Amino acid sequence: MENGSTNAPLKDLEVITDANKIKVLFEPTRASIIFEYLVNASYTVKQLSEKLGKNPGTILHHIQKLQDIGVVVQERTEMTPTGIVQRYYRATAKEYRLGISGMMEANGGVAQFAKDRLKSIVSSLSVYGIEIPESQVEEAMGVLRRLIERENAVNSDLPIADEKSFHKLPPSLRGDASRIMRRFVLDEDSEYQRLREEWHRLLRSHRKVGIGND
Amino acid sequence: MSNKNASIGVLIEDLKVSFKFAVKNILSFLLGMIGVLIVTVIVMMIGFAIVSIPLFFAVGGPEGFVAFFESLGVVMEAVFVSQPDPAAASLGIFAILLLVTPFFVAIGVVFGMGREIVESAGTSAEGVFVWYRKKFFSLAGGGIAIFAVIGLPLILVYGILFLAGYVVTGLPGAVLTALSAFWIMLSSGMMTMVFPAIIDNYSVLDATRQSIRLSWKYFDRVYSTWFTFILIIIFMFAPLGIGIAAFMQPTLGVELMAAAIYAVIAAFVLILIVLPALVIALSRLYMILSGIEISSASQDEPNVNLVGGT
Repeated sequence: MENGSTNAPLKDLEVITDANKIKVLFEPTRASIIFEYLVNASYTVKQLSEKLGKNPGTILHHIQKLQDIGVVVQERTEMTPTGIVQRYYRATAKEYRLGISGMMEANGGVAQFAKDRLKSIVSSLSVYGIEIPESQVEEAMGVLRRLIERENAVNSDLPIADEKSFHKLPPSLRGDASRIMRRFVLDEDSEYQRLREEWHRLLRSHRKVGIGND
Repeated sequence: MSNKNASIGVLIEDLKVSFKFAVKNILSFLLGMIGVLIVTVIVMMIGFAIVSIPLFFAVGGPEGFVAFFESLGVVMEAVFVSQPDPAAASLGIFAILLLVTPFFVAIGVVFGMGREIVESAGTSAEGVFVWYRKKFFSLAGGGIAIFAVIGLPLILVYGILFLAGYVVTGLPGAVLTALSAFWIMLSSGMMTMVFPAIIDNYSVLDATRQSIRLSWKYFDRVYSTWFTFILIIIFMFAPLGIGIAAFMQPTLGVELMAAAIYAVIAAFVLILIVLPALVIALSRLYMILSGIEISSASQDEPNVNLVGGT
């Protein structure tokens, strides 16, 4: 066992559907570590403890929790001239999305958070002139939830023909290629198309008169 | 990172760094160890209370309680000495293990401090409590694993000889003693990485495997560090032993006083500097030996995205 040590290439997108993993990620310090820092670059415990203002032991415990659920790996070990041995940790993916179904199954306020967030998204569309009445908010949330889940399912299963060459691409180029292909597979997916059409129909039906994209 | 194999230069550098960090963090270590000691005593008292309070009432109050322990002493004497019984002796060893388990945890959490120092050059005394809480059972298991690997073969050999009624003397006795000493040195070296591996989030079993694997793969580096610290401790206390052997008579008050002062100073140096340095050295060694040696990825072009949601 290598205990979270890896030279494995970075994934572009990972959808986390497991309720227990989602719960682990909902701890604020762990969420900061992974979503603010480790998805962007590799960091040592010392660097993270300085950035987050926590003691190194606490940061190490959080890193170990994140390693346990498989979203953080040890990237490399380096020794400084003063003799400190620094371990660099990084995320396993450039982007994470939390599966809504998994969030709904999780306890500790996660399910409520997911529900509230969906509701907030639907309500916030009013700033774009889309006023969904209270009586139809639940329905809108349901459509949006199915659409997001389908998108996550299709995007997280992006087929790669040449895995080796893919991981040799520079990160920015890989990101661009990945985005093009993610869009492409979504457009090819009939279920996603159906759900998107349903969602757009709902948006159109609640759009204020005079607001359009002419 | 430099290579993982041993050389005199590497060993000297390891010692220099370990002692430097130990001295730099002397106060944190001292406070941390006092904290650990207090928690350990509390844990032992709680454990004792859990067992003894129901027992106190079960045996019918203070008289029954005292009588119980007196009879327990008689039973222990019979089990281990006069009428040896392997099953009862195993139970006795198990009970002793349970008693010393809090000390295994106490040693383990000091490795947590060591890890923090090795990774970030500093630690805090309160950090030990986090390790205590998060790794209590793993560290207890690690201590038992170390005890089992080092001690069980010896207990088995000497136990069998004892039960069979053999008294090994002369040349066979000397060979047995030499083999026992060899086993202790070999196995203790093999188990040096158990606590650092547990602190690194390995389970007890995986930490034991990892420790054995690293100590074999990097035999020179692990054993040179381990034996150097053992030699340092031996040299520290050697003058005391030589002094006792050569000069000490019950009437010589001055020598006795000098030996006592030396012993107190040596004990302080051992607890406050040498043992923390050992913990730091082993934690650091573990980090180096288990670390991934790759150069940091160099990026030839700026990380700029051109594509949105196309």
